Amino acid sequence: MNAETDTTELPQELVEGLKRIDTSIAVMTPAVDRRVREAAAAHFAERPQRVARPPRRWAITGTLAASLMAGLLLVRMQGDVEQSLLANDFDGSGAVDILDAFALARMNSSLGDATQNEIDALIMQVVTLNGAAP
Amino acid sequence: MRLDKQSDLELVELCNDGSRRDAAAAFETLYRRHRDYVTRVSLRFSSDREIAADVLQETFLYLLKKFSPTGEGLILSAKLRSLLYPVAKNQTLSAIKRRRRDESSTDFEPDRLPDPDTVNPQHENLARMLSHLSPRHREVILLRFVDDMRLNEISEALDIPTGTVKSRLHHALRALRHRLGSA
Repeated sequence: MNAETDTTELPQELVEGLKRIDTSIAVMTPAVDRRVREAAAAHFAERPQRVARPPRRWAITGTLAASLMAGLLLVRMQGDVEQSLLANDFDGSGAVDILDAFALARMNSSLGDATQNEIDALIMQVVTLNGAAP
Repeated sequence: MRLDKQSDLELVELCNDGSRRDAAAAFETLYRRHRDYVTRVSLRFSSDREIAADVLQETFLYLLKKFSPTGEGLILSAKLRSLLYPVAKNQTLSAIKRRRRDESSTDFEPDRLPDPDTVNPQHENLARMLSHLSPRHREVILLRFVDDMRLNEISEALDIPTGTVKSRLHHALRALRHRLGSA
């Protein structure tokens, strides 16, 4: 006979009966409750009030990944700005400044290539890059 | 999350490395959760409620010592009850021996079931049949079917190999069926 199989062969009714026998006695233990509670409080009294938990591994990894992403984004944005600055060097001075906006305006009046919006955008970009509020 | 919703394992973790307040609260939750169980285990071996109350206190003071006051401590490899059971059992048997020495009494019976007077009459026959089993057989049946322990948990609680648990359970069930059949 398989002993493992036997463990499930006790009728449920009988199991319920056994449980009821075992749990039929209730013992009230208020004095023990109090002593155990006091003992636990005294036992853990050496612990700090709040435990400063070390940062979890996933949090460290996440922070590093976020920093890396932010760094890459910044470098890329800088590259974009530099590229757009050189692209907007209409007077060929090697720098983009307010004179380029005037140059663009002059080109517009003679050739009609640039729209007023593009000129306004260039002025805004130059002013912003120079640190002034738009 | 409320402590009473947390598993024993999570509460043990809090006792291991929680703050002063969290650890004490987690321990108290474990105590309240298993208080009746430890009391019942004691009453399986002695119907003396005074002994059961003493055993309850000693069992949880023993568990408390497993948690270092400054952190780390207990690693739970099985159900907490597999740890509490042998402690409660041994504390009860020791208390019975002490009492026997003190009183020179010979009328106690170790491994007895609760006093039949306290048992519902409906289950009196079942209790009586169970009381006719050997203490070892009775113990393994109660652990398996009342405490719902798996074979490996019984093995841990009784500190015997799983094969021995299987064999003991097999013989216990056969004896119980025999009693049931002849009742």
